[in-house]
Amino acid sequence: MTTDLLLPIRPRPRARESLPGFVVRAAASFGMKIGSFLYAIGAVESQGSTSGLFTARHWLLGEGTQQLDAVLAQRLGLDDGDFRALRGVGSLAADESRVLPRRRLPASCPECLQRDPLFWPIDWWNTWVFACPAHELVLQECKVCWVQAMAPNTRQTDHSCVRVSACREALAAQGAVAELIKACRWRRLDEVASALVLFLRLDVADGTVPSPAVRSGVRWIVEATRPHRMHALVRDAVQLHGDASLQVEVRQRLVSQRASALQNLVAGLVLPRRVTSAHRKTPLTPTVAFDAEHASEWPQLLPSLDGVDSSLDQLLPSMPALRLRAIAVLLAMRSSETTLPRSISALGYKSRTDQLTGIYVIRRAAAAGDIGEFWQTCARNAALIDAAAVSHRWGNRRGVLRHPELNLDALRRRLDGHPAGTAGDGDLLLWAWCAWGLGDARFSPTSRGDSGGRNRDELLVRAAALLDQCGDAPKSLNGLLTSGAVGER
Amino acid sequence: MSTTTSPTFTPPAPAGPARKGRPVTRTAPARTTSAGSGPAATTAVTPPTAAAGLDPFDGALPYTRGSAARMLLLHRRRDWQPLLDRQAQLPQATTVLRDLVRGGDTPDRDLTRSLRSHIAAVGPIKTREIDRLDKVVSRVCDDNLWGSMGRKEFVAADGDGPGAGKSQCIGTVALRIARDAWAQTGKTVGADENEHWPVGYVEVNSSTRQLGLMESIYRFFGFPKTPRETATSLLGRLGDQLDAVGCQLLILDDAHQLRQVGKETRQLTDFLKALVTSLPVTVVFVGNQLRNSAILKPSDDDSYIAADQLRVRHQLMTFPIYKPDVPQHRDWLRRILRELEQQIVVPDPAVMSKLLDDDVLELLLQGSGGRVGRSIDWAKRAISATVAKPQLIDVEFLQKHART
Repeated sequence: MTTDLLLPIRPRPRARESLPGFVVRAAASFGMKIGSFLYAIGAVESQGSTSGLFTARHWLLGEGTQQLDAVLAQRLGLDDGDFRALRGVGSLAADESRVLPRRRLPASCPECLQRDPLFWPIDWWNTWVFACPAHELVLQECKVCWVQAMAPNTRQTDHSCVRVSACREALAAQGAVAELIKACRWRRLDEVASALVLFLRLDVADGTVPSPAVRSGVRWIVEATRPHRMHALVRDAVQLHGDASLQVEVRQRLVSQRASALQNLVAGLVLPRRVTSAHRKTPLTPTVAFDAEHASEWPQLLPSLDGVDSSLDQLLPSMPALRLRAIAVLLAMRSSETTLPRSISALGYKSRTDQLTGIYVIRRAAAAGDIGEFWQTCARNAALIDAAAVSHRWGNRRGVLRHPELNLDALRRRLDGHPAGTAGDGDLLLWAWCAWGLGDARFSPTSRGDSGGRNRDELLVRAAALLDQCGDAPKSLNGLLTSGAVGER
Repeated sequence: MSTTTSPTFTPPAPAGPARKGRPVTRTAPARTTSAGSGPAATTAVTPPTAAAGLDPFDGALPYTRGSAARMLLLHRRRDWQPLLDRQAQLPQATTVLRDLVRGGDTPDRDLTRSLRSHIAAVGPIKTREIDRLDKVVSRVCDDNLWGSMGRKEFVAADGDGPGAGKSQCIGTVALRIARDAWAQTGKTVGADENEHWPVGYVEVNSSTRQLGLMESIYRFFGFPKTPRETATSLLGRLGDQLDAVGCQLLILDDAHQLRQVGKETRQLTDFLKALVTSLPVTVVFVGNQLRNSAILKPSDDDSYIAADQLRVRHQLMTFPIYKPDVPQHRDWLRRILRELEQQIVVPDPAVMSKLLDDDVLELLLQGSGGRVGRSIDWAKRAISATVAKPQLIDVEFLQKHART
């Protein structure tokens, strides 16, 4: 290395920093735009010839960047180890299939950029990573953020990310992502590079039921990110962990705007229409829902779905994860057909998320076996219910609980005579299980203005009466769970 | 003249014939002499401290190897460390050379060359001007740390003509500041991260005025720039870069070249005003007749204020003309030459016995037009001439070696 050519200001690469982000930072330390900087140090032949270099493939895969690498090494004192780290060599970030296509902007976290506009981690170029674990925000492809990083003096302000007040709605909607990320597990898939990858592991067998917040978070991701990003995420999650599953809702409106692959997927699937019809009465826009179940169930059920499987194979040659989820939907709906209550809408849930939770519980109950075993199933499902599922109603727009003490435990205590909660959606859910378990058609909780007062008290009395009818069953659900009576009936 | 002996000095053992007179030091490893220097030149003369591993000259004569044997320039930043090294090695070089010539032998060709290089390299000699300039610069730098609200000052080192020693003085001060700063921060040139350049030294290029000035500054520091950038844009992003390299002082030598005719004078003055006030460093202009340059020349137009703004912000340091008939001025020069005499090594110190006489001093001042820098150069030149052929330095000898 010729010392004379070294620049006097030589920033050192930071941990997890990407090569383009590093060069942007180096240029900024001289008060220059990246194009002018590269031209000034002799990395490119003319000032206008830098645009072709600003692609992820060039930066991260090193395609045709020998001259650039040589000059950067000469002028900034980078060695091979620095280049490997900046390109994430050995990590998932450097996998060609996961690098963003040409001319695709990196997705960035607006909060991270607000703190340090010149730090662009290598994860942001990865199709896998769609959320920021520190700020629990969905990463967004904001051209203005990237342009401003490349040219510090740029005065553009029309961000497409949540930096500006016009996008506060989006920020509020992202509140659900916080729970989504909590439900996810961050794993370091490789020790060579520090590429953190996020994957969803909503494992039913572990006792974790996707909460409505998680559902909405997933839905938001599908809307906010591009299909290729979602596809990569799902594919890798399935490939790396066979028992990983995912719940995704794809809105019809979104599908019609997105890539043809997704359109074909939705148009070609006949089975999910049943779900569509189930949701038809909801005030929401028509939705096609794909619900994934535990992967261990798939092999047993696949033989009965050979025809569907082959047709799916034709439809989805490149989307195995979605295919699997579609099969799961089919299975779930088939097994639910005979066990669903007379009418889901009879539950009277105004909240669609609670309704979905109810459907889920019913489906799980049905899948567990005969309806006569419902007490056991009901108890198991109660244990599986996540606190967030019940408490979602009491959350604010960002999904933060206003009354964190409200959870299923509190509701169970309430049944035992320990007043805790103040609202009754969770109670309703429990009454519904009780009613279904007893086959009590009289139960029809249509009086939904039950957030307190007389209706709630009435419900408690009715619940106690229902429990009394259980014969030798425990007087309370909590007691049922703790007495070991589950399975005896 | 007192002589000092290096603590690692080993008395030389005579080995082999010298060309004439008493043998000079000869210890292994032998210095390789250049081909064609004659049979006598094959005599190996080695500095005595080489074997101890403390020899900065690596077994060779001082000023004959490495950076000491090449020209070093203050406006090339890569030369600063060698310049400081050369200054630091000066006492050792003096010791080594003094040991080599102690016997009073007539030195061979290589030793003669080394001695002459030493005479040229001796310095900087502490003069009143260096002390004053150092104090002024240090004070203005300190004041400017707190002078953000329109109180920022700059230093103008003005002389009445070439040879007054301005560049020598400012160079000495610059190297002193850099040496102290590097010693304090522990950072050195060429470190892994940002380099540390407490002082920038630029020789003003007169060809392109503002842009040329900025290009010179960028060239010195090695900051990248594109050919299409204007002086204003370069100035705009210079401040942060100077901060990043820890620059405190920016010296613009030959600043008298910063002059224009007509309305361009205003543009130049405006630019210099922005340079002084917008950069987070203390600016030192060094030049001749700065009072007539765009820096300090008052504007004829009363409505034009930038020139006046500059004039009220400067700390002027003038380099006086020494007058031969003023005893005090002769004493100043005598003091300088006495110090020079103590640092210089010649085979026969007796040749300088008359160097401090009044008539010699008067001639030096008269012949140099009262410019102390020229006087010292003249004296050095004469002393250098006595290395190969010892002769008494008196008025007649000086006149013979005067450069018209």
